[in-house]
Amino acid sequence: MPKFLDKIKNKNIDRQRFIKIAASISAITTSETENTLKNVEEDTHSDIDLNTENGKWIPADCWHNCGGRCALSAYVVDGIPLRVKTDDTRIDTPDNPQQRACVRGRSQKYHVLNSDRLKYPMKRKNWSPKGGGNKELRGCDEWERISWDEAISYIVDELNHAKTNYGNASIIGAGSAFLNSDEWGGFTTISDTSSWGSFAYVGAMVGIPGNGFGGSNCRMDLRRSETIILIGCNPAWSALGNPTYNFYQAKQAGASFIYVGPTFNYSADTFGARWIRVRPAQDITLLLAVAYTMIIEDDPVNNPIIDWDFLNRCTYGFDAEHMPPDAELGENFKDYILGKYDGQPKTPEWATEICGTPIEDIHFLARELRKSKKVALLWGCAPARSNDVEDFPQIVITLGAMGGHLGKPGHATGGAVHNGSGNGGSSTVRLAGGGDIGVPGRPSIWLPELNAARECIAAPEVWDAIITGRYKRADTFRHLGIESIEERDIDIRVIWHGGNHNLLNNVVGAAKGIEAHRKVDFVMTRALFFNACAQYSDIVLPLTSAWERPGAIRTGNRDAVFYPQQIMERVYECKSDYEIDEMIAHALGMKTASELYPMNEGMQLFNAVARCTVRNDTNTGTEPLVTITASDIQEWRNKYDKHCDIKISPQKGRITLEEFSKAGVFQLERHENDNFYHIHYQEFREDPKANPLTTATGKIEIYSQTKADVLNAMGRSVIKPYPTYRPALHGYEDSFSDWKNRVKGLYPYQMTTPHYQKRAHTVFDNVLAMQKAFASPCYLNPQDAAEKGIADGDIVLIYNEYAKTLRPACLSERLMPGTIEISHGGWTAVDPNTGIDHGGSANYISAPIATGMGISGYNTQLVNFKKLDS
Amino acid sequence: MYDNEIAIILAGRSYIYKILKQVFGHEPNLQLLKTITGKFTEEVMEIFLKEDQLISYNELFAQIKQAIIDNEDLLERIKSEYVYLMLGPNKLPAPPWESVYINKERVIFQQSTLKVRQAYLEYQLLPAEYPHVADDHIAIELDFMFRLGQLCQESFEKEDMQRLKKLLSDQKNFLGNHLLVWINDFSIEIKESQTHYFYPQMASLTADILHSDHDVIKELLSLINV
Repeated sequence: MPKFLDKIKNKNIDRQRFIKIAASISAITTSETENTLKNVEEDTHSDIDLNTENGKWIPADCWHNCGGRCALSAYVVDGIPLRVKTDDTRIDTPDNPQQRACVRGRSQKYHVLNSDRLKYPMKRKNWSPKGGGNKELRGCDEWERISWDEAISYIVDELNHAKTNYGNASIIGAGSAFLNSDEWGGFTTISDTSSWGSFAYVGAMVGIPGNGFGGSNCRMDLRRSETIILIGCNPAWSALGNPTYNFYQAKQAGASFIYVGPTFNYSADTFGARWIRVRPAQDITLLLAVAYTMIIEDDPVNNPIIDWDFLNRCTYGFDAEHMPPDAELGENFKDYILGKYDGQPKTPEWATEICGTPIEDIHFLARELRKSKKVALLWGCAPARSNDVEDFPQIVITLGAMGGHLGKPGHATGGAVHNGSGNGGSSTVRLAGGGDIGVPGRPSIWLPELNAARECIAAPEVWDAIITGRYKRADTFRHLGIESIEERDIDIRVIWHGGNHNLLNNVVGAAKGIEAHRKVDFVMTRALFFNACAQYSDIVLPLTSAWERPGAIRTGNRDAVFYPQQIMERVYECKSDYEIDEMIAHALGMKTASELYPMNEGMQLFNAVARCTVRNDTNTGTEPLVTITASDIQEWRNKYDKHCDIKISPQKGRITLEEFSKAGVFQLERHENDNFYHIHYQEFREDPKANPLTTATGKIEIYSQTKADVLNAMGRSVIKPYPTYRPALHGYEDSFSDWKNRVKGLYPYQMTTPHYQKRAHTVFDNVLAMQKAFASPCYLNPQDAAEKGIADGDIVLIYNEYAKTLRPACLSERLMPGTIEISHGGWTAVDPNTGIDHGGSANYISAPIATGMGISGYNTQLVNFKKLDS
Repeated sequence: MYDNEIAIILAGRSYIYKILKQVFGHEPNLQLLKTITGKFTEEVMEIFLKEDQLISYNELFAQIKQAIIDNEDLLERIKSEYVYLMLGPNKLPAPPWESVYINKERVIFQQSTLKVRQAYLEYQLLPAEYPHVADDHIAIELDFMFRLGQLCQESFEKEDMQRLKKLLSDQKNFLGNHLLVWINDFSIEIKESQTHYFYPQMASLTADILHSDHDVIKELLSLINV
């Protein structure tokens, strides 16, 4: 029985009336075409091929600040990336490994295609122009959709208003070239030691290149080392791609591994390392005792440990006979170690109670560093990302120098950080300057010395500065040329989250950061997702991902360069940083707008591709990587901009543009004993006078007058020219209320915040697949957990005087008792009723305090914890 | 012998899809609320829904009607709810795309999206904002049902039963392969909304209507003899 039709029949509905009314509801429809279908002519869609067998593999970007750089490809059908794979462009061999992606890269499509992507410009409902409206509602307000024109207009008004009424310095942030231009007049910058920690400033002063990232030898030479000592690094988690593989090759070649740190981490486990435990931020204490042991045990005839020849020729300040010409203090490292100045020899017995390292391990480490052994002494920057560790770079290079482990095959003292981890040296294939997109002449968005506003706040102090209106201006590591600290007024009105940096989540003291965001008149964020910055903003702009842009040239490890290309069209109303800045610069009426933004991103990419270089076969110079023909140039112009004034001429290179486009990666072929080995400090070691380092004296400075003068001028702490023991703010000593009698304080646990496989800083934390795979627990030592009645999986409240956060417990003997780990990058998710963060945001409960040179001391945090429901 | 009734139900189907695609595809306005709570909508719904289903919606519509009469700021609240549920910038409790409910990763632009695109292309249709938007947004899928519903009306008027049968059968397949696959999950997840002024209930209503329409189509197909 036709029940619906019978129902109608029974109702005696009048056909004409019904149809007429039904058809007359056009009044409710709008003229908007969004979320509707359109008719398409057959010929316009005849080229659309939806057959999933007919897709195309396109090299795809994995662009995050993760510590690696790898090859990805996406299988694309009619603009939709269905699958992702990693490098299969070559046979995988130890000398020429594939550039394989990690779990993050392989989940890239879940990141790009996440349904949570920001899609439209949005405005906070209760924000009002020129004042901010109801600012307390930031973080819990409702939102309204606005057009791009409206968004740009609001932004331009706010920038002009702030500049006119409060000056350029009232705008703080990062990420936009036009703000830093002479025409605009600058803005207040934030100086963050971020990944580098104390290496950021001190590294160059004592003889370490690359903010602590450099100094080590290449991966091929690593295989010649007999002992590889890793201090505070974890490439298996934080430098994915090939670093772990590089170390594994050294392991295969016979090297033994030592790992120094508070946790027996996954790298240490993978390499079968001997674990030398040390409490967080106590590396200096340990290494001073190692130096003591080396000095005491060294006998040039019967037990040669110290390389006196190297020390005497290539360093200053080890002993009284080798002081630098600029030394103002009549003290030297050796006499300090022996206790001449403070009556305390830095013995293993003295150190062990403070740093927690067993005495026999200190002896072992000292003996392993003997000059006859081929040692690679490598660090991560985690120990340097602590309060009051300005001396870490200096003590570690001092030990390397004492053993003579610099500038010789198999001997290295340097960083094992980021994508150069286990593979030091400048790139064999590279982009010739200008950043990833290769546009010349754009003002730097980072360097405060180029910034006309000339206000620069150390990251740990930035939120306090915004709230109190006062700050201490001090040069951190980017040379403002300031000789001493200055107390200054600052009136921040606009917070400009100009790039996808998620600053509020990535700077220490996020709890205070939220308060600061609720104080200013205007907060703008552009991002892919509703991250912490976006949550506390007034206007949020949706960014395209790298997959929706023309492409990029990216360098990573020294032997490879990557050429990912556009995978899909922009989703919804997203725009790129560059497009947005260009729009704003023009809307501001800037005369220099077209100089600041000279060509579209497609033409920038061409510029970058053409400017890639590769070392020649004899490694004596470079040559163009890519052959560019006249028709390539024409084709590119036709695609992106026929009228662009780009100065690219046909050139002969190593590979054709088509080959490069197809592979998406170029890798220099390497083999044993080829011309491309990198032995850092080799020339320096041979002739230090002819090949001086970056230090004031040109030698390695175990005594650095510059270090002491500059850091002491900053006024936050008192530092000797040579490395010394100094208890760190919120370090182990501070975990006691009475250090002398060893009475524990309110926050007796040392928290560190290591990088985590799940995330690249905060990126990927919101990817569901990653959330399922990685629980982001707080890692606890079972002994500590047992004292609090906490079992594996229990929800734990971690708290201190700054804030509270929640995490499930993971108990592990890998941690030293008294320490706790919350991995870096969890998304701040504050319950507005309790103020408790549910996202495991380490920076939410970290202290917004800078020490010494203004280090972001992520790894010196004191906390307590308890089971949530107890 | 059911000519009048068929003409009426085809018009009713177009009407209801037009309203639903409008509900989920655009910011609400007063006219839309008035139309939805009006007498004619009730009449159409009576055709598609059972009495017990109708009761809860009629309660909602009565409240909205009263609020309009009392000049409350209900529209503003409903607008906010629309933004919170359909636009963001917050994490959407129930993202309004099919692919979110048929894969485990809450992602858009998937293989299933291509299948929806294929269905549209067979009728020379594509999303107006193609390729920037995901084809399987609830409003676009409802628009497809609306457009095919209109074609059904045309075919019936022209007495092109062959065409009508094909259209109805394609609509049935589209419901079965797409909308009905996810509308229940969507209507459940949207209950996580921080407010329940309008859209969570409209999602339930949509689920009820779609299930009912699937039966309507089956009934119509059984009557059409070509």
